[in-house]
Amino acid sequence: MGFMLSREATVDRLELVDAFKGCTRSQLKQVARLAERVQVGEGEVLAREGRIGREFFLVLSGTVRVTQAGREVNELGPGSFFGELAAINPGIRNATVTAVSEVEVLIIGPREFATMAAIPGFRDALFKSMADRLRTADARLAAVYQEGEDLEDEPPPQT
Amino acid sequence: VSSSTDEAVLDLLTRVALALAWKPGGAEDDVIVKNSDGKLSLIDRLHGVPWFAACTEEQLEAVVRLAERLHIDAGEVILREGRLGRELFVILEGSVVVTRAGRVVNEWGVGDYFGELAAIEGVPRTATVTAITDLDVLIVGPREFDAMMDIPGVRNALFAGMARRIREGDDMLDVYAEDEAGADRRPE
Repeated sequence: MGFMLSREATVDRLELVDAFKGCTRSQLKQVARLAERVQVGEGEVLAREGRIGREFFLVLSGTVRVTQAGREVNELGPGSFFGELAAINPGIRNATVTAVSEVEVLIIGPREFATMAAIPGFRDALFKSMADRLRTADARLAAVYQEGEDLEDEPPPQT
Repeated sequence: VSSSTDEAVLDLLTRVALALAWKPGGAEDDVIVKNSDGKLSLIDRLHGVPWFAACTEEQLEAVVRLAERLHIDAGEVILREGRLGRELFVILEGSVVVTRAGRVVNEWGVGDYFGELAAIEGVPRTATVTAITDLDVLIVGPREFDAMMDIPGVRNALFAGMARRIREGDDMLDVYAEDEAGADRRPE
């Protein structure tokens, strides 16, 4: 893991991140104080499925691959974040995240994350992202439910 | 379709229903002190809501200032699927039934809350909620919701509740996907 850039440079970078759009520059300075900015090489693993981890990550540059049980489920680029569930509630990582290029990330511990979540701009971005995930999960579960009912509606098998 | 498949489907549906039913809980055993007239004050009622368990007295008073308390008659429809509306509801007394596309997906009671997704995102309601009994509810408007999220205990508890529901929903979907594919379960 590599070097740290100046705080001002980090703030400049944060200004380009969607999740921080609602934040003032002084709030971004607060975020930069709370976070550690690191550079990781291609192939390095940031989070490993099944392991306990409580850090929140925000990708500043580069791309990471998200895998579950060895299957790729997503690729995330600059401005994406992950690890918020573990930062909020202690638990095991539900996916492995690997750098597929040189990647610059902000790493935020759970205590710092709670402080960050109090900043209205970031808080709202976090709420929106989580509400989105909840609605998506609910919709998919409802579809599973519907499928189950359709199965029940099928005529009984001939025996 | 064999009967063992039917059982598997039924089992899955039960788990799905449980996943949908998840709401923060655990503080229901709190002792609630009644006033001399036997009625619970609003603050006393809030003590019985797990969501507000981490709040100080002052923070609960702030919640009381921000929210409106309302009586709703049994049978009344509180939210209608597909309609716009940004209020969040906390049940202080009574219970509601939650339906999606006419199917009952849940039943909620004292201490449960609903409407938070619309309060956050301003999206149409994802379910219809109907009062089963007379209800005593707290209503929080979108502006007041924002102010309520400035209270650390309230904000963190909502984040925690949502994070848990996301995890549970994802787990249910994993189970379903793996059952479908006939794949081995991942170690929990």
